[in-house]
Amino acid sequence: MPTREADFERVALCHSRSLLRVARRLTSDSSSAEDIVQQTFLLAWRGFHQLRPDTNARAWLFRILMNAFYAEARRMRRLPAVIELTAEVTVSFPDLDQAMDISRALDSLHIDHRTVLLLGVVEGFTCAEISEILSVPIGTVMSRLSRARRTMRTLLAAPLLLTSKDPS
Amino acid sequence: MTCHEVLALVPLHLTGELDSAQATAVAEHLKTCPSCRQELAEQSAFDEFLRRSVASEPLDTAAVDRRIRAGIHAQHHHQKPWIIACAGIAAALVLGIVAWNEMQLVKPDPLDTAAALDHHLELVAHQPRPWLTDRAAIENLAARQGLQPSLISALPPSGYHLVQSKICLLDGRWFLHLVYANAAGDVSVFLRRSDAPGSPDIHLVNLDTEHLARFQRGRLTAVVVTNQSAEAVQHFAESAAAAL
Repeated sequence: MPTREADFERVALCHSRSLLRVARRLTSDSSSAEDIVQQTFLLAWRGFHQLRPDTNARAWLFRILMNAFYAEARRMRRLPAVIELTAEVTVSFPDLDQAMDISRALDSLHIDHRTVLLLGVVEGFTCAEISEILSVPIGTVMSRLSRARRTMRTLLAAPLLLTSKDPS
Repeated sequence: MTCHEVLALVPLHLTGELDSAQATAVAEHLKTCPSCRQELAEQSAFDEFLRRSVASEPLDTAAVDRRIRAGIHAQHHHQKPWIIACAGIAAALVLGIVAWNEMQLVKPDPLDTAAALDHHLELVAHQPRPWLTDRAAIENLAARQGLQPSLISALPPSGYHLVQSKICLLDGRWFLHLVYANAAGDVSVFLRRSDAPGSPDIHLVNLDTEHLARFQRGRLTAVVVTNQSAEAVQHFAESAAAAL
């Protein structure tokens, strides 16, 4: 295998699982998610020679992925299903099994909130990295994360998830 | 530091991004505030639950990895220096059909490469895709992209019939991909509404095995790709340009 392709496998393609996982959650459609991920890697391949050794390759790939996703959203002339729910929404479930499942809860989040939750909590990016990936101020990332967590916990009857009442 | 200020910093606290002064202030506050301790514990527990739930969902990357590797391989192949299609130019000159102010042979741009790659993977390598084959459904798909459904019948020269269609992503932008065929083979037409009007010239590009024509009419961008011949793509592009 040529060196450049081998390098690309080692540096970029090893992140395909993370990218596909987020793309599926953003699009709610496996076929679109695969198209976006494929497009992401083809664009990344084209710019791979410009990637500096000190660049966070994973964050770079996610930035390309998000641009591809937003391009799709613009094409559709609408953002994916948006149901703005606030923490004040009253949702009560007798136990976790009957609570809204995590999938539907995530899908019901505003797309901006879902995005930061996936990048920050699931993929482990810092707020500063998310700010770079999405090209938004870090304060915006923080407020979106807080609102996303609040909404999800409300939907999932979050107190039931807590095993320790007070860590002190 | 107030509860409100501490809670605003929770996202940075959970990712370890607080500076030392902020971290100290938050820690001091938590020592004396059971309510904030509770909130922080609940947020940490929620994060862990969400992480485990999403990470445990089944995810098969084998298919998409194969597509990516095939795409990279093909793109790598296509990134060789472009080759002037001497035969195509000669034939065009002999036939006298090239108006040089309107028909130009150019280097492939990223859109050309992406279109040729898409055509190659889907119509030569026959990678499976969710195609629409019903004409009414295809016309509906075109209408949703802001395109006149009547264009679908008007684009091809005589002798071609519509085979299938779908939406595809080329160079970060979405196109309606229409596939027509005649006895000699398939022709891909990629169409999208453009943000701004561009040059109406028909640009001809020859890659290794794909022949391509790109042009714009008003606010419509079109890319035509085929493996047949430079003459075939030119003939098709002229018909499509006239229809647009």
